[in-house]
Amino acid sequence: MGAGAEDPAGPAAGGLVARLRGGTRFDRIAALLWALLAAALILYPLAWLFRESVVDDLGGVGLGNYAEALGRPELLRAGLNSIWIAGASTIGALLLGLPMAYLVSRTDLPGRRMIRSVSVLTFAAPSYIAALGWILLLGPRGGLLTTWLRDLLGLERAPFTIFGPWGIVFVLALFSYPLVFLPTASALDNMDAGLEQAAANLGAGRITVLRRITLPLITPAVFAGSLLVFVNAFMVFGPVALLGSPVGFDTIPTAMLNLMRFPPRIDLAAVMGVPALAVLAVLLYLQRRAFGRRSYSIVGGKPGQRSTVRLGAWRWPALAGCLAVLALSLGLPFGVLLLTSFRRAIGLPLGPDNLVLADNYVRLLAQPDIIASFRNSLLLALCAVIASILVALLAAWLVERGRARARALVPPTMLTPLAFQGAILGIALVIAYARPPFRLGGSLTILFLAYVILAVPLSFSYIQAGMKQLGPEVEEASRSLGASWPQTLRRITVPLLRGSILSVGLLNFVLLFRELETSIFLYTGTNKVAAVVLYNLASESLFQLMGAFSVVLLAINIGVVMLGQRLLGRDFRT
Amino acid sequence: MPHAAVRPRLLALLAALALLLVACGGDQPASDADQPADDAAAADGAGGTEAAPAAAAGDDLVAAAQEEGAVNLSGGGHTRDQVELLASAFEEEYGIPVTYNREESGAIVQQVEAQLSAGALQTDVVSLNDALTFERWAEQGVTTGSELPNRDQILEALATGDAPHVPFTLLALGVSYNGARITDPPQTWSDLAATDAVFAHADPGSSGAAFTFVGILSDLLGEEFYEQLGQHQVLTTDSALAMTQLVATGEVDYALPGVESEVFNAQRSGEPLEIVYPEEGIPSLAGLIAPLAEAPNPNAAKLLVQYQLSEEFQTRMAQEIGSRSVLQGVPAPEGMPDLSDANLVTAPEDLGDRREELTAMFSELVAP
Repeated sequence: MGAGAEDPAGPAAGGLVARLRGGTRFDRIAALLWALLAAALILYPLAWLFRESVVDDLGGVGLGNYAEALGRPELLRAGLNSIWIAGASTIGALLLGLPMAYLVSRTDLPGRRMIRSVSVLTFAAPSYIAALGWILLLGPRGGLLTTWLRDLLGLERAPFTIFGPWGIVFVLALFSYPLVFLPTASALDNMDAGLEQAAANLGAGRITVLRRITLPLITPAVFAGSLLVFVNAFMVFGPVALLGSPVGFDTIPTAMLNLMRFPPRIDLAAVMGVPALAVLAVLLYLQRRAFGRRSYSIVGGKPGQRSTVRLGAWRWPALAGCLAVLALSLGLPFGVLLLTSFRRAIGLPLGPDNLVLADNYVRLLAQPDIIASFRNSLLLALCAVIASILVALLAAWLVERGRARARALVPPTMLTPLAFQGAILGIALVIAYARPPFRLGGSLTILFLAYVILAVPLSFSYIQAGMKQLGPEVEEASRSLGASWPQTLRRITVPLLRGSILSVGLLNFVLLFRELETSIFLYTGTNKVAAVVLYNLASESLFQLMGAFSVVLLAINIGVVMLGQRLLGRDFRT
Repeated sequence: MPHAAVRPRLLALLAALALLLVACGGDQPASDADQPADDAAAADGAGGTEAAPAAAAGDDLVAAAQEEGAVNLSGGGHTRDQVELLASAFEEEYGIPVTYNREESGAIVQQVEAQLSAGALQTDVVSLNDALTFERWAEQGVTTGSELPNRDQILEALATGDAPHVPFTLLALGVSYNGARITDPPQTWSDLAATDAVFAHADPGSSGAAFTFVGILSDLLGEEFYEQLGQHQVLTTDSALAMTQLVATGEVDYALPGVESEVFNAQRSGEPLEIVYPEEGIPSLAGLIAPLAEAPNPNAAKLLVQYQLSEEFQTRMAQEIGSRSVLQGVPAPEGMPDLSDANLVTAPEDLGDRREELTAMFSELVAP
């Protein structure tokens, strides 16, 4: 960026403020504060990302960078690979998530509650750690499962390999299915059974009821979940770097990280980020346009009594299938990492001589950089969660209680980071904040900004939904008794929203504590966070240390999720 | 909205925890003051603590460095064992904590360049397996000299003249393999390339050691070596160190380049790793280190480089973690072959001009 360049976000932010004017003085102050935050967190980095992609080294504006990117086949291939991985992972997640949702919501499957609870734990577990576990399990020559299967079946070579696109899809589908499973199960739970009963009474068979009544009603939930899977898989970094890069398979995030290496081509990385952002934004917009105003509990009144489908002899095979999914997504990959954390050597067979009790954990605790990264991650996740909740409270208040004229701008702005994540967010923050005048490169502050941006959409969704359900009457009573809006917000609204706030706070903490996709772009060696250090341990073949670190990280995250489940029960929404 | 029985004080607890962590200071350099001395040192009594003052560093420099109170090392040329030993020994010697990060040279270069372009340099000392970048940085004034008192003690073949960067360890690069699975490894590069096996090769685009290795081997054996290697299944990794796991678990048969200090340390922790040096020539390079000109802690940076090159520490490095010294008179690590009569081949002089050519050749022939 040349010195003296104009702030590209300036006019946009100014226009936003102008449109948010109106209402009381508190309205105006709140709107201005929100506009400033939105400009700093979202519009400013977005504007710089776009600017970097169209400005050449000499300061000229044009599409030269795009032309250069189009002339590099490896970048085009990475883009197509991202689409392929995202599409295949979405299909995989649907194949796992939909039957499981039906089974736990509509049948007499044993252990339904346990299956839901355990699948929620998947959110605590990062997919890159699972990828590491699967390398140890399904490595084509030395994997524990591969070796066992090869011996069992008398094969000379493994019939599959975890390295490559299919391995990535395998891991991502197993890690993404709860994004389809949980909302679909919830939609099936909340659906008015009377509609299905009425159809059945009119002579429709079970398949017809499923096709004509049930599926259309759960479509918004299924589509929303599928879209989240697609977006996550499109921008996922860790599993691709671990399972794809060894065989030369790159997607957009890994190609963008390669472009950041010497000689760094941030302009080309920005070029890759802009269309990726556009694709994700369009998909999210279409989802919102198609289903945003449709609710799956469309019929008023109390849900009727739903008849439970009896599985009969299929109960146990169905349970085995669900348990297999849980084992494959959590039990096996993390079990093998737990085992690795107690191994002396990974090149020698398992046995009493090759096991140590605490050596790897002791060594882990003796690594100052690991301890520092751990502390940084805790600090950043906690602070970003709190900050995102404050931003979300402000935004939700503007939408639900404020009178600013342009408050309709607030929800789409707050949800923009859903498309603005991972590598795209990392590159945008590097361009906007790492260089002068802010000079935040290599600091914890730039990671804090990233984490707040990542946490804002979820915080806003939860808190706005909570505020909408509250209704304004109690707050109006407080106002009529003489309390100011800030007092009302602090003493009435926030306490009433504590369930939503705690729920989203814990969930965001879990997601941020293990964040790798954006952190890897903002890491410069001096701002270590746990996920990046863990990823680097794999690059140094320190698998025993990595196993021990994974166990500690997962124990904390799973503990937080279980705390949420215990405190909030089924209100701990994911 | 349903209200669960949430204790309001939990929120206060979370906030208090956050404040406590803030008070702990997220940006403070991590001290390893409590870190125990290296086990091997404790076990064999090695460590040279009986030696004279470590680096013969001037009192003024030591005092100035102690006043700065911290030093940061970005270690692309160090292994984790090397950087851990240096950090703990330096703090023992001078009471100055060393913060560090260890990654492949390419990542370290990118990070330091990013810090420089942001005008927010946080690194004091850099090590790389990449002489070309150090030469460029020396020309640009990015690095500065360390006023090394024993520079004339450095092996002549590795000396860097008046350049700010100096060698701190000699890397002899071979082929690593799993001794529990392979008992008769090929003894020549030609036989290796003709062997029906699965290979791992570090990416010369990101690993400095791999880049030098590819440059040396393509000159020594011609591109035919890589053409032949590319006929087999080859996994690529960002770092030469990432291959140890692939060899240990049997995912690959041979890893190139094998780094002997890594093999030594893997053996020490029980892994059945071995290294073979093919006959036609042994690619070798020096791990290089230099203080940065704009280092936030310039005196501590110089002192750290001086300590790294001190005879005392070079001896510890050889004895405790199997790293070859660059100083005359320091014996080779125990159990490692004597390479004094071996055909060590160093990087061609024009290597710097061939970065794109070599990485493109590798991508085309080995990792298409």
